[in-house]
Amino acid sequence: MQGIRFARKEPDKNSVLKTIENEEIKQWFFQTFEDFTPAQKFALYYISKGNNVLITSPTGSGKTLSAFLFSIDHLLSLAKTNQLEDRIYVVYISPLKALNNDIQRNLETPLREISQLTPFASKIRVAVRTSDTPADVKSRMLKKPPHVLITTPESIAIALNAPKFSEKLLGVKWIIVDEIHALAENKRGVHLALSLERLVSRMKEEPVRIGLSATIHPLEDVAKFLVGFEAPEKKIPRNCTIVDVNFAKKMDIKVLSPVSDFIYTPSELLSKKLYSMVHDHIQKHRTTLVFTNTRSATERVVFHLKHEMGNGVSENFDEEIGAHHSSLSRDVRLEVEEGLKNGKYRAVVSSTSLELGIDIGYIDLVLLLGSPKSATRGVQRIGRSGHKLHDVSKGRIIVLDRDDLVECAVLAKYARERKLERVKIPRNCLDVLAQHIVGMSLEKKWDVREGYNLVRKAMPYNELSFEDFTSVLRYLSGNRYLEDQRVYGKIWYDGNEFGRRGKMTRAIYYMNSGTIPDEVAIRVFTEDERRFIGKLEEEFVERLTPGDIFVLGGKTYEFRKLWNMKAFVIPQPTKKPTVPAWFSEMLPLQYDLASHIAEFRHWMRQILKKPKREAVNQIGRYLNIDPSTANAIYTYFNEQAKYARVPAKNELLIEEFLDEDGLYCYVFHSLIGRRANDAISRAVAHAVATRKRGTVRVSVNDNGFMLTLEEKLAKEDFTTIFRENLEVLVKQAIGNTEMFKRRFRHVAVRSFLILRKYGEHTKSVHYQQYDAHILAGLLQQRFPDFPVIKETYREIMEDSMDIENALKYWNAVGDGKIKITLLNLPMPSPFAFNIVAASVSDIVLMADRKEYIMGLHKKLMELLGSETNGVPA
Amino acid sequence: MGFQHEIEISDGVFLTEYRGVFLSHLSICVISDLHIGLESELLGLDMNAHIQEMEERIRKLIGRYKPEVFVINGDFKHTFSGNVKEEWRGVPRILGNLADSVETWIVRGNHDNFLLSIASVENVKFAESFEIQNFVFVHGHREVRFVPGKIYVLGHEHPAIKLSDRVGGYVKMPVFLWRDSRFLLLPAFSPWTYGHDLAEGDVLLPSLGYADYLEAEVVGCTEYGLLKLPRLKEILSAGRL
Repeated sequence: MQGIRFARKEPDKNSVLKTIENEEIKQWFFQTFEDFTPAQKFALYYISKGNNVLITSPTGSGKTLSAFLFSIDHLLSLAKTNQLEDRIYVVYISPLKALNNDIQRNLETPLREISQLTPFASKIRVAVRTSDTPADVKSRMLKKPPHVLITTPESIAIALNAPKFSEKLLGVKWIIVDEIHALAENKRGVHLALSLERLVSRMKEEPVRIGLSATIHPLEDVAKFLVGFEAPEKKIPRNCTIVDVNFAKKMDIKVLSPVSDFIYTPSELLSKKLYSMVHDHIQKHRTTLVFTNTRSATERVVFHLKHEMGNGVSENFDEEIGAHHSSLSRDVRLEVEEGLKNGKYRAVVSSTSLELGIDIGYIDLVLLLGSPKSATRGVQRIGRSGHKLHDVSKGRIIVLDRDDLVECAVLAKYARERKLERVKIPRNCLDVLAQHIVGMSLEKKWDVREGYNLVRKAMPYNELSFEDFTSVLRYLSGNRYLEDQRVYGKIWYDGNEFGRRGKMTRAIYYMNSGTIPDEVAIRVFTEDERRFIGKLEEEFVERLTPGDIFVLGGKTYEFRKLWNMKAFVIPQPTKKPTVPAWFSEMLPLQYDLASHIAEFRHWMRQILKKPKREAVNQIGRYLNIDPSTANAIYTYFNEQAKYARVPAKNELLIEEFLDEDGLYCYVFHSLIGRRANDAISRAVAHAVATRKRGTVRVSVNDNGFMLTLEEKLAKEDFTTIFRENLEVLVKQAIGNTEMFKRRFRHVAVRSFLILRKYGEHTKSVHYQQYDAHILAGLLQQRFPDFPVIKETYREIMEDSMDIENALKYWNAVGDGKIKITLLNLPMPSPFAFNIVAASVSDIVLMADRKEYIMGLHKKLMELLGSETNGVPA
Repeated sequence: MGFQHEIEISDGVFLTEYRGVFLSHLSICVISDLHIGLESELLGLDMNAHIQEMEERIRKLIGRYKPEVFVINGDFKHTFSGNVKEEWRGVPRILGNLADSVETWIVRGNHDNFLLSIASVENVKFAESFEIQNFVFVHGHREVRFVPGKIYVLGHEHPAIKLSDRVGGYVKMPVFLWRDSRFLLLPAFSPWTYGHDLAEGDVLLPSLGYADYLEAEVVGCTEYGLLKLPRLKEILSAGRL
């Protein structure tokens, strides 16, 4: 049977029982569990039929076991009849290394228990293979391969090119991909999709693919991502049965505000109220999981809970609060996960790291501090509570300001209705493709068409053009591009066939494959005592000029100098920051949720015309929030309406005011998500800088963006700009930025253009970036179609920005379907407050560099001339 | 006033848009910090666009000024621990063309280890420093005893400045520093070195202090020509423009 379909009717227990051959397994199962969960019934039934299956279900539905159960039963039958061979039958792939250990336990415990019923079960071997696995363990694995291999996307790609070990993979019957929702939307997933196709192409019989996912939408796309295409040119996917049992779990979601008035409550009081609210909830529940959006916020919350809230809960409150985020060492994280399972903690605070499906035991409340930025993420986070399937998941979102309040109230409405955002799977990533082509060339000699067809079976490459495919081949073989600046060829390619070249290529592949880039961090020290304060991102430091005041770890510092990747500063506790804070690790608001908020704003325009009591009632009913929260929303909108205006759905409100330095500020209330705003803001800034021949500062936020410049703009400037070509403007705007060079580094490293490791050498990130600076400039000038340059633009515009939705909005404004209102105000409106406070995302210089330098020079000479009364020479 | 091809900062001392200096009374051209072989740090790549560019600028210097002597004021090459193949290729390539047309003096810089084995060409002299009339050519990585009345031509620092605007944009450019007939600090001739931003407040040369820099006159190098700027302390005091 071909194609993707949904499993509708739950199979009855008898037909499920029939799928299990061994009595001992049934016996063990019913000793341990009361009954099959719906997820297990569906999974066993369809896996036993040999179907590919995508299972999405909440925590506590036994989906991990359901993926394994059928294969264990099969392996046990083989063991009993002495047919169990020394090869791998099951591959389990997970994005988390720590999770592998967890699974090993969850798999080994059942096997041990079943062994007590039948000694044959002890013959089934399970092993973990990741980049941390020591070489001697790997070589033992070769002699005596495990029957079940637990691994990561990166390790499976390397295993594919291990000449002997890869042979052990050729008889695999089941491939399980866990946490597929965390893989589908990034390049790790793209990388895995190609690995699977490469593996399958070498196998005689296609294995059964089993995907496990948390809540995600649309499932059809994720299913295609899991199974790939049978006939890529006709776009016929392999068969897949989607099992969606998410509906079984009820959710109780509420939005809470710690104060009734965000504007007039002093910030100390606000934070006190917030922590006491968090504290109250922890006290009333057994185990609470608290999510923040950033690592630093996680630290701050843990600090406050431990030091200010310790009294009254228990004597050991200090030890009953844990922190879990990705900057913590693996050991610390494992300890916290263990502690959670053992019920050691009253509360654990996490950024995004506990979103993934580590088995975290009993959680009866999930608290979200601030918006999770998408309904999907909200559902995933809140779904971590309520251990048993039929428990209700309980989630409380505590909001931190008025925009947050509106956003979360709207988000909760759509989360309850399960109206989720669409996941976006990256397409045609040429850097990941380059890695795999090098890997493929190590295997054998390929006919170009054969290679192209294989690649297109992976869903992220189904629409890859033949030209792009061959351009990567030409780049890797060193042909045509960079003739005098020769890039050493890594493959051999003659136009019809490609294959291996050079002795170093295998080592290059092993040492450099993977998709996660090295990050550059600048360490910050005080200038006098050289005391370490913390880390900043390179791109932030890049923009600082000595004398600038900025915030780090909640304190203000004056930037003095950057030296040897270290920044030196003087503490300036009383000074006001001159450079806005940097929130690059914050989650971006998703387009769909942003559109819902824009619709809510539109709806509110009518509501505001009604008497206050009625209006508040209607808001409360519409969003399912309590009267005081509804009142806060009413007040916020009412202020906005009185002072400025609440934009309608088909209106782009731009407000103009002067800042303290006398610069003109333009705030665009474009509710299209931060990633789409990122694209539009840079395009407008570039167009303005070109027209007005000046520098434009861009700040982007979830709810809109702001441009700052020295000249006044008119409405006609905007209407004509929106009629220009967005993609052309964005390309021009980003081509010469630091951001482009940084992204180029990531892409160039992934494409093996810049090597992290070569022979004995390991290249520091610093040098990687240095190479990227030189290469990006050269290539853009000489070979604008170079695949690594092309991929850098694609990654920025499609993955980092949301060019698709930006384009829809841009054209609607250009066509006049969305009308521009330009409002001149003495001060920013309430809706603009957070946009004004947003971090600077780019500085766009005028395109004419010569004129720019001349202008600066002229100003400098004038300034000094007027100060010294001297006449410049 | 604007972009200029050359600036005569003092009698007979011409700073040029090619990041080199011409001393007309002595008929000497001087450049510093070529760092040939820097590209070997680019693992797995073999790039030479910077050599092409430097070759072109040297050709233009010789063509315009027709000097009798050409001084390379240190850090001709890059690798400390030996000679990499990029240096085996690049050093003779630059030097061969140079020594064919003009007498060449090479001042030893801190990067110039093992230079002799790849740079032994006729018509080339090597020394830790050269002195002719009141000019002293020395790289500057070691202690220099400044004798009054003499002008020291120095490299090593790779000096650069940033001009920032009020909105937040900036431009960074390599610069010459000239201090009252005492010293002349050259920008790096290599287009691929990071300039050392002088606003950072420290000095690489052991014999000079930051105060010496602050008082110095500054000339910026851009792809459009030279820009005459005020003294460093005045540039810094101006802040964002």
